[in-house]
Amino acid sequence: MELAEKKSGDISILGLTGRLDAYSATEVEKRLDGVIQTGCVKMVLNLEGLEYISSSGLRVFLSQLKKVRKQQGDIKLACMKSNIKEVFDIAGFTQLFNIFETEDAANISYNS
Amino acid sequence: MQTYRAQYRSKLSTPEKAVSGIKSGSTLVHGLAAAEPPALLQAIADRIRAGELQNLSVHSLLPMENVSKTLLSPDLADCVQAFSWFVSRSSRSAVKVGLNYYVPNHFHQVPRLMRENLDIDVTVTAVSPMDRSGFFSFGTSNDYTSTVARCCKWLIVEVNKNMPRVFGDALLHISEVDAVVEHTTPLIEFKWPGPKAEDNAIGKLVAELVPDGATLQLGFGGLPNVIAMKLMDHKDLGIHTEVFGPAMVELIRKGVVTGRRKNRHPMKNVFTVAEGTREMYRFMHDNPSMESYPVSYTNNPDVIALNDNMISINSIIEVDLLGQCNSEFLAGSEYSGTGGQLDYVRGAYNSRDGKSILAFYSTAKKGQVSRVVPRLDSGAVITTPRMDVHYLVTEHGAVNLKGKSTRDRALDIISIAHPRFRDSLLREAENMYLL
Repeated sequence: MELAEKKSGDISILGLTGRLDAYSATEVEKRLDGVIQTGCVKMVLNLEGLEYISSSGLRVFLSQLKKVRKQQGDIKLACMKSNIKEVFDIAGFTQLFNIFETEDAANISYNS
Repeated sequence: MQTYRAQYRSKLSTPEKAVSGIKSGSTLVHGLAAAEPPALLQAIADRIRAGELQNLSVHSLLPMENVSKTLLSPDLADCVQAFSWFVSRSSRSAVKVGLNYYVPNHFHQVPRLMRENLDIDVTVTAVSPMDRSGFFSFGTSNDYTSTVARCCKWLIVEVNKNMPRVFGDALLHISEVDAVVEHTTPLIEFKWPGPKAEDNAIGKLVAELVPDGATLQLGFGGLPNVIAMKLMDHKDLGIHTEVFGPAMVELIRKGVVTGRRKNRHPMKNVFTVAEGTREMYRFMHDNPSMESYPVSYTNNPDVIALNDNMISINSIIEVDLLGQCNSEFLAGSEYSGTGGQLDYVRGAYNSRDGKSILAFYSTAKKGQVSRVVPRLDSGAVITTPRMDVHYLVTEHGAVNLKGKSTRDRALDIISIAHPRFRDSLLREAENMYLL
């Protein structure tokens, strides 16, 4: 699992590539915790390169979402592949997350 | 010694207070189906959402709306480890993506499995109001609930005036309870889609296999309802079943079910869980013919076999040409569960002149897919092994596989497949060197 980070104003944009599974979930959780600890609670996760997500990955996304929303932030998801979107649909997570077709659309939504 | 009423008052609480002692990391089991206690489940979910509870293990069997709207809600998936001992519509999606774990089991073993393998901190369940002797009734849900109520560290009951009071081994004394809340709300009702075109033919074939004086176990759903309607001309039937459903009420009211010829519990309608309509729950209430027992008793194959002419009727998803039946796995994931199918398949066959019947539609997906398949998919599971299969029934016929060779079984099974698929199944049977 690779995680690339960049900033766009006060928004952290993280690109995830590879498999988010039981092995990588802890690492991703730590990286997201690290971002939150810097005071950044507005995030966009670009999932274009995400090949697979397990239940561990889903749980990490959900727990991090709750952390940032407590601080009036959000985690917005962009560029999901259809297989990942299907998992989110089945899990009922599409009701919980704001999901966008593109990274730009997710970024812009923070200003609307 | 406090009077029972005084004990009741001293334990009476609000849902919020009653669940306030639950700690993070606890293991919780809740009452099954209509016994899911909505106020308690909501109060626990509220605590989780408030950040007061984490890492809660929740055990359900056939989770219904009260638990799916609360503890199994997707937004709590990071705080709740969910386990389903039978998969329902409410847990199927979560099971598919690993947010809810299926626990394989034979239903009759669930009380023991939970008692020996779970360190249960809390049990919550709905019960009927306390009587003057200090007893509640488990009502619609005896199953494993009566066991976990007694092996948990903290038992909270939700008294619902709509929960029927039933007889048998179904009582719970106030002295056994740690906290009581009162919350009267309509019980969950179970509705089924209307009958399918094939149901009439299947119902007729099944009814022909049922002799007068038989004791019945019927699954629940649309097809069992139709089968029950086809039994209206039978005499002196009895009930010893896992699930008590509305179709059985009709048979009792019409005098078709009398229970007179049962060897065990004559004149009594024995069940472990009831799933039906408001009218059915009213019929059950304070009705001395309605006896509920733990599932370790009702589904114990040795107990089932004690009634002569025991007839069990269950459904399957598909059967292969060897006679192996899959009743629980669909499209690569757990769709339902083993439940009590094998309990009753074995118990009924071991009863004197008993029969186990597995009924199914010959096709799925509007006739495009045969439910008789050459081989089960490599990922599918076998619910009823070929050695146990007795009668198979589709809308095209009924066959008895007991004592038959692999060749004769394959031919028999193909004979009840939809005619459109029979030629290709015969070719596959040849390729498998079954013919």
